Amino acid sequence: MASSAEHDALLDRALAGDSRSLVRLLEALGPVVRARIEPKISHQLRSSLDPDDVMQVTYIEAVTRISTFQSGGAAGFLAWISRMAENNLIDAVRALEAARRPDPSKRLGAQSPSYAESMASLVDILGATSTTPSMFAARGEAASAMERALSSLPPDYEKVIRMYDLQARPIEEVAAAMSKSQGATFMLRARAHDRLREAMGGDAAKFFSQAP
Amino acid sequence: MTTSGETDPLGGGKPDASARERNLIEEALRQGTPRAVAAVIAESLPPDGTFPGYELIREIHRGGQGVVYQAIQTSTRQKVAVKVLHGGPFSGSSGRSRFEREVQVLGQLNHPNIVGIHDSGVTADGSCFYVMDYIAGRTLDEVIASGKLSIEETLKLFAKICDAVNAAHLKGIIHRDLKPANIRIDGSGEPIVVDFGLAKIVLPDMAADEGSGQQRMMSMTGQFIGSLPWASPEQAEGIPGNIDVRTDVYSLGVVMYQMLTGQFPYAVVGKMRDVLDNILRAEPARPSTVRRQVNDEVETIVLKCLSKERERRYQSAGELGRDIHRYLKGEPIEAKRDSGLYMMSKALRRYRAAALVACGVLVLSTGFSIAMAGLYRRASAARVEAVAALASEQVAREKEAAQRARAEENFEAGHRLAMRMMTDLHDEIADLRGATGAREMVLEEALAYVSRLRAEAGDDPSLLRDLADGHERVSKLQGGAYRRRLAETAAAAENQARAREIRAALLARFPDEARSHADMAQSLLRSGQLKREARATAEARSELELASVSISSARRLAGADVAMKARLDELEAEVARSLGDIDFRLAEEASRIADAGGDGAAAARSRAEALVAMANENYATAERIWNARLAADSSDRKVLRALGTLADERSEALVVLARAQRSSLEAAGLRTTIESIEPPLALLREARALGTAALVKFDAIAESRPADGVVQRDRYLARHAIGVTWMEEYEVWASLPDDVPESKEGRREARAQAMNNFLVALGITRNLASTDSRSLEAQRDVAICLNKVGNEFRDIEKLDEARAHFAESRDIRVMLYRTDPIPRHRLDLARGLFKLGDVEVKMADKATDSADMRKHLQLAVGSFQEAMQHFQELVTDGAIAANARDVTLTSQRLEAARARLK
Repeated sequence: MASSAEHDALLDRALAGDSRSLVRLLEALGPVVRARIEPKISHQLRSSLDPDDVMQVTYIEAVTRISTFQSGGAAGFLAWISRMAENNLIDAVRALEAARRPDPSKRLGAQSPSYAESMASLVDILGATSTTPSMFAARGEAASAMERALSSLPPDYEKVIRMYDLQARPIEEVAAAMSKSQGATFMLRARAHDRLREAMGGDAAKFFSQAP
Repeated sequence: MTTSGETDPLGGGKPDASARERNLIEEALRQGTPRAVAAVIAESLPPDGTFPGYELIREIHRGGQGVVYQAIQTSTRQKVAVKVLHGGPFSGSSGRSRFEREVQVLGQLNHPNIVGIHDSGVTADGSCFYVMDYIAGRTLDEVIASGKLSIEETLKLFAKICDAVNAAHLKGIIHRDLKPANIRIDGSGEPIVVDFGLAKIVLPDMAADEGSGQQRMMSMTGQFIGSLPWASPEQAEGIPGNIDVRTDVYSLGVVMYQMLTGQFPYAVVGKMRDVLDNILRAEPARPSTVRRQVNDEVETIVLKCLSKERERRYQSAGELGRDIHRYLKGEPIEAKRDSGLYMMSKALRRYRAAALVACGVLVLSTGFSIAMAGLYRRASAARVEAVAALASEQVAREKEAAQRARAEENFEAGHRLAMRMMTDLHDEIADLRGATGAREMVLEEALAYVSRLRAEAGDDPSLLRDLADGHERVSKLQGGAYRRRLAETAAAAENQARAREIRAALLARFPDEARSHADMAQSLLRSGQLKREARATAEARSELELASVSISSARRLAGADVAMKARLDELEAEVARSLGDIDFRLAEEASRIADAGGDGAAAARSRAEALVAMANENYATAERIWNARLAADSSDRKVLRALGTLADERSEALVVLARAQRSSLEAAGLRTTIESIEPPLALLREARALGTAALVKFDAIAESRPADGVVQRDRYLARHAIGVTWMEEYEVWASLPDDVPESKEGRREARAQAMNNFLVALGITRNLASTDSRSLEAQRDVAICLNKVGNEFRDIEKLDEARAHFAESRDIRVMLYRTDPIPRHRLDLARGLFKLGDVEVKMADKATDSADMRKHLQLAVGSFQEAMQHFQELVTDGAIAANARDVTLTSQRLEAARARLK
């Protein structure tokens, strides 16, 4: 019978880099998280968002961000992934709502068809600074930093940013290309932005600090 | 873990649901694998199309014989595992032959708990491979490591493993490499036996394929086959002809032992020769000594498997499995069938209702028999008498033997219970608030038991160890550092000394056992701590240094014994901390002398600094050990508490350093400036950060354990430590000239913060003392806090409040000293009296009329006199030096007060 001590032991090994333990821990705790979020997805929403979608992104987050988990044992870990799942769900619902009333300024390709400007606008969207970095982002330095960061993301994260943010393809098209629901695509994008912000790390700070 | 038929409350769910979850997680893992790593993995896989009909996904295992990949069968999209022989086309003929044999063996076996084979072949480049079930889940190794299976769960799981091995035995196949790593537990908790790479085929029909009707082995004569820790004596001897199904029974016995206890039955690490020797000769430690819940029957089963002689083992895995099933059903086990008493008690337990009826019948029939016997006796009296005499002799012998056995059983049961009372029960209640009364009861019982045990122990090393444990435990109950004590310090020292004597004698008898050295180190540590408490510093240091030596010896002998290593780590950390405490207390004394100024101040200051550096070195050692433990388990309360306490102590050490720096500035006689006081202020900030970090740790524990009195005391100590940093900060600011504008604000802030922290600390200690009025330590803590708060009131000229606090503190100290007249309590009392006298003098200074002034001066003289008497007694006892600052200062104040009265 699974016990919290066993989960704690798995968590310790997972934190030490043992992916098998992480998988087993997620196998044990995932259904609890699923049971928490399922009732929150309304019947109407189910056509655009499946609980599997939420769980998928949550698992990707857990796998890629396990090293940032602070101590608190398995119970803390459960709370952590539950919170991630809930945030994913909220982001997906918000994005689906927004998609019904699109804000043109938030779409990149529409206003910035060129690659460099798309990059610059993406930096704006990521909101790393209040200073507009467009001028710098348009330069090669920022673009290459962004490229480096993009290529380090999980493949689906990279794909959604390239297709939706940089190539400005419609959500329906992006979702279809990724074999995902629209809700799932928005959710992936929200997390992809988070991770991109992190991945930019030092690079972002560097060129933002030089901004006028 | 989830065994068949059970639902894991957290991880459970329908199989399809768990498969869906697993797919999502595996996809996440694929997505989340860093690109560079993914590229390496992808590169290491054989190219697509190597195994026609299968798409390789990832490598899952690389062993001595081959590599196993996870793959998808293209036609069915089912997950499978593909095992490929190392060396490809260049693999050796024996390796190839064994690989082919494994394929042949698996092909013969069709059992739900044995991995199934689907396909086999040779790739285009000549590599042998076969395709088998892909089993998600984990190995039995990992399940054992989690240590969470109940005895019943263990046996149910193990019975299935036996059934699987038996299925192979029935086909004439001996596994020869049974070990937890070769048993996987799938997602639904079913065990699957894998890796038949070393299997031996013994039935003629299969062996005939090899060109011989005789039983043959795959291995060369004399070559060791299998995995050493699980090997049977006949494997260890290297005589292939002796290997049969009972070899697997032995390995199953080792596996069962591990599943039950988490340990091997004997040492399996070290030199190969020693390990082989252990396999051949060492008697397994009884499982119940490792895990108390293992009962006699289960122990009998496992020990029967581990018989060195094959004839005494179960004769097949099937026989073993059947006995386990019997046990699980409550039936008598075969292994104990020779014991009539056992059989009867088992039957009675199983058929309790039926047994009652049977007893009724027995009573009736016995009555009938007696009547008949009477008639018979009249007919042949002489013969009956002879028979009766013989019978009664027999009955008497049996009765005596039974009584002896019962007495031994009773002693054993009573002994275990008493030891548990002293250890488990006491440890359970020791942390509870208000537990002193209950601990006193335990102490009473423990004392009575230890004295009985002394009479029983004789030469028996195991009982002697228990006796030493008992003495040590009693000593801890009677009084110990950082515990709320029961007022029997002298008795505590005596019991500690007895424990130590026994440990020393055992060490002399068993000098090659790590445990003897570890036990000795533990005794020395306790003894050192008690001596430090009694202020016998030099002796304390010497005991602790000896403890370090014992720990080193134990380490050399411990080998890879993980539990022993952990115990030694803890001991080492405690020794280091205790050594640190000695240096720190000495540093504190030195800094007080330095602070008082005068001739020896500079030397005292240097001494204080050196001692703090030494203390810090020891604290760092302890901290390093605990931090390593924390890395293994971030929620371990014991570790968190130890680290918190260390942080407190380091904080106090920094305050001593800051004090030394400040007094050094003052001694230099230069005008202090904001810049010059920055170094001590920085030290105090660091000290405060340490204290706050400790407090955070303690608060976290306290939140989850509100009834834990020890952690409340830790919270008080942390608050107190923080308060002391502010108190010292006040002094630092006060060293600035009044015209420096920051000085006033700095002093105001420091004073307010110190007062605030001491008041919180006082609240905690009062609460603890009120729930545990019998705890002297709790009372002493209140007295300390009252003094600290009194100091603050005194310094802000609220003399009435100050006096009230000092007086209450003195009253507590009087009670403490009367209850437990040790030097520490006497010194506390003397200092408390001095403080009271001091505040009376201050009140006399403020008095508005001479009558009032005289009254205060008389009270001051009374307090100083009383303090002086105690100090002088302490000097006589050698607890303090004749020229100690306490003595000289009290003497001066007494004379001054007397002079004013005149």
